[in-house]
Amino acid sequence: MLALADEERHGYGIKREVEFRTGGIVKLGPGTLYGTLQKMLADEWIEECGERPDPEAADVRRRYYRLTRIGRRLAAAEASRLENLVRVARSKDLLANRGTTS
Amino acid sequence: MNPRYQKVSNLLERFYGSLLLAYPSEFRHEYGAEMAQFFRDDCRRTACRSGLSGLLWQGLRTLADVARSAPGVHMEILRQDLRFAFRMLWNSPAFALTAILALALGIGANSAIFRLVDGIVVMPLPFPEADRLMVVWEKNPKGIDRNSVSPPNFADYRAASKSFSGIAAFYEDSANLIGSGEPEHLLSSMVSPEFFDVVGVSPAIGAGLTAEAGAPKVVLSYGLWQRRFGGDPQIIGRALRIDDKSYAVGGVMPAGFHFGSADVAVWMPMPFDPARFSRQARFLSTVARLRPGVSPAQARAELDAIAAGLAGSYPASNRGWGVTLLPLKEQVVGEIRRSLFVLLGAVGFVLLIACANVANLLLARSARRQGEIAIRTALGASGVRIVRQMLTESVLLALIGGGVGWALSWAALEMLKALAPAAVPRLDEVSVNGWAIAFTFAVALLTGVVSGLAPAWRISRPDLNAGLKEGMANRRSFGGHWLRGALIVSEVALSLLLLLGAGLLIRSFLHLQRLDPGFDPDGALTLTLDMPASRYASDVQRAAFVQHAIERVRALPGVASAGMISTLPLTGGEGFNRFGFTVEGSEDGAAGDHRFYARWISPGYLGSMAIPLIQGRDFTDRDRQGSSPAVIVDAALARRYFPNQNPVGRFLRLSYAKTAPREIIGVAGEVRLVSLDREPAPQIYVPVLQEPRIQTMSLVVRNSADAAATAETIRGELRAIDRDLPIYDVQPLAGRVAQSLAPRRFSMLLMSLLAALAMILAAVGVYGVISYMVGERLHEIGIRVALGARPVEILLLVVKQGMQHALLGIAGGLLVALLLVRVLAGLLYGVSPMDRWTFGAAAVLTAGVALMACLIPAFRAARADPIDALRFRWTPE
Repeated sequence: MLALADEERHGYGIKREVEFRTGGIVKLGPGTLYGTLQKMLADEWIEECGERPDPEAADVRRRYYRLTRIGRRLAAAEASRLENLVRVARSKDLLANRGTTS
Repeated sequence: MNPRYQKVSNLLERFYGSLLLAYPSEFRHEYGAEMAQFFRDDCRRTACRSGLSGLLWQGLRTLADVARSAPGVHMEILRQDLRFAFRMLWNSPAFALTAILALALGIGANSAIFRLVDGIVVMPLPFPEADRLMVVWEKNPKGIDRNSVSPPNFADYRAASKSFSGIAAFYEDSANLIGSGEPEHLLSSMVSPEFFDVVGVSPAIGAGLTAEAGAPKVVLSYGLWQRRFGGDPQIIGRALRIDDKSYAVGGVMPAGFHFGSADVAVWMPMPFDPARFSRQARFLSTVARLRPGVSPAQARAELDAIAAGLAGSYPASNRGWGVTLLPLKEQVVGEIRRSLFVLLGAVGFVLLIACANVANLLLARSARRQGEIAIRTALGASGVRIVRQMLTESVLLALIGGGVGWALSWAALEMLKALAPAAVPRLDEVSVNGWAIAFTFAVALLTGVVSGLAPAWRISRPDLNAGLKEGMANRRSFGGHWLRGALIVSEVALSLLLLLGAGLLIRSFLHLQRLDPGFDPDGALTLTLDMPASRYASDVQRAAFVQHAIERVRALPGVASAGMISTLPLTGGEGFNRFGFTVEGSEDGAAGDHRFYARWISPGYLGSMAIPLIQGRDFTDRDRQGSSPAVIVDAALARRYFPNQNPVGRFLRLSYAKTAPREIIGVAGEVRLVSLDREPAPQIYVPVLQEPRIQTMSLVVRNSADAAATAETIRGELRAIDRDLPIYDVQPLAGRVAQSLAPRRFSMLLMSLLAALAMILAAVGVYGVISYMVGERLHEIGIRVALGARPVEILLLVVKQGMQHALLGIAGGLLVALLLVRVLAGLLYGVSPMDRWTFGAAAVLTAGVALMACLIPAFRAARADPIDALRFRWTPE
């Protein structure tokens, strides 16, 4: 969902964004990705925003997705939940080591 | 890209294309192209970065991706369908409730009957390796193949056969438990020493019937131990007096153990050596355990050989006699199996009717949802997806119905257990197991698919334009008239079949109930008493007691007459006290195949039973010991052995005693002895005062006063003669007759319930469809009325439409019935399975119910205001 937070993306774009953000650790396969997309579409967390040519590869048309308002609020809520979690973890010095090394 | 990589990449892409088939078609339709594109992009990127190995690695990773994500996608679609289905049902509660109720009734009835069949017929008997337990009967020359075995024959089979690890014999007898409180009459099983080993069940406490020094041992049933001895753990070794003999308690059987009659309360050692007994006295039942690896056929062959040997050695008793070897389970459940399978078929029909009903409801609803479906199709939902959605709805309905049905089946089963006659075996073993749950679930699932299939099929092929236009004219093409017509036809046909089955059972029951048993069951009270051997050791004592007791009872106020008999009619006991006789002075008598049932009666018995005396005189107090031997024969015997002769004054010699020939002094009316559905068999009454050899007698009192009050007075009167006299089985004579009909009453009742259920379901189905059709045609009806059609014409129009289908169903049902009724033949009495009247009545009744179901919507149509009807743009709901 975060991959869609800043701009509309197509499926392969989402994959590349996720890969980039996680430093290549998370490699989404097409099945996993589209399975998740379908579920999020059904729950109206994301929506399709039309089909248009991919500017990077002019010969293919791709469907683009973006967050809905609900989806955005959900993502924000989840992020703040995680943020709280991290804050707690930090206050207990759980993350101290990583904090210094990175 | 490197051309070699390009080749591999193309190959992988094609491979991925086929992998996509693992996803639901709808998902594939939606995302397949993009996923392929995604994969292509990925391949290209990987090929550039990491070459061939990267590509292959990519292929493997994608395979894992498909395996991981495809089930999730399927589940997701199911989740969406379910959520949608729930919402649809929630939004039309009337539809949902009707459908769930119909399904619950159908599935519940099936579940209950399945559990009966499973518990009684399918499950092994509750003994270790029960499939190796067999029963040995003797087969008599006249074709009775389950005749009891005589003790010496049993001893010879036991000694000579090698096929069995053990053969045991037993017979049931009455036992009077005396001391420590009220004398109590019990049913006992007299068993040979190997009995418990063969059956394979040991006492829960104690060592059993082991022969040691001291008093002989008895084994108590768990119920008796609890009831009479309060479950005393110190019971082993305790002394008991049974029939004036001393015994020690050797053990208590586990709870729930029974073998033979369910009421056996005590197992006792057989009080004689079987080898030293008359070979003609056949009264033993047997149970045998096959050795591992020996087949029943081998055992049968061996027993046949032994029987042939016995016939050669003892021609007087064994010539012509053979052996029947049966699995014990066949013996226990053989008789009820047919009734149960007929019932199982009947509930299957009820379920089919419920299915048809729900299919009809779904069809009608699908027509209402035509617009919705058309829109979804226009928006790109595939036919498969819509079918899937429809099936999800019907399966959901069926599963909810199945859950409710499961609950209903509990209640139904408890009711069945309460209603079932004692003669139904193994009822206490019927319980819930995994099979019953799996069966119910499977039936529910199947029901859902079957009832959803037709509507789903209809709806997946809508005419888009018609649907979107929501026009009146197109509705009729959509609803699938012929399909709904076919459903009505089959519902009516199925319920006719059930009605017919119930009708035949009812008719045979009524036939039996109207049957003259040969005596008047109303206004008479019966009880049974035992004269213990200790206080009534001699014939003189017994005769004196019988005479004294009858005199005192007769003198009671409200008592019209009283008498005693050794065994009342209709108390079972096939082959009980059956002997041969010869007619003095006739040459053919020597053959010895003149068989009769012997009953010992007191003066006044015939009168108390209202059995007519056709010729001669009744016994009197003067027919006592020392007077000239007399008998009364019944009309069945007189007709058979004295055709066109007067039997009175002739002399008979009875095979059971070597006394002087007895004079026939009277002929009594014939009586149904063994059961109501058996023709009266020849019978001879012996005066008990003359031959007082019977310890257990039943008293019959014809009374004018209140039966219950009389029972207490009589009991008091008898106790006044003998304080310790065991008196039991006190009940009106009519009750005994009813009891003997109980198994038939049970199957009749169940079948009638099912038929009623089927009728209601079918009527609701017909009503629903006709109302729907009327709604559809309301516009047309309005036009007709506007053009001058009278209400009665409209009425006829609607009724005709409905009745066409109903009559077709009736005709079809009758045709199928002609093929199916044969399975009922064994359950009927005095009624042909093809009984014309029952067929006619069932057809008329079914037609009547269908007519009623048509009339309600027809009246509504006939009353319709043409203006409203014309203005009406029909929107159902």
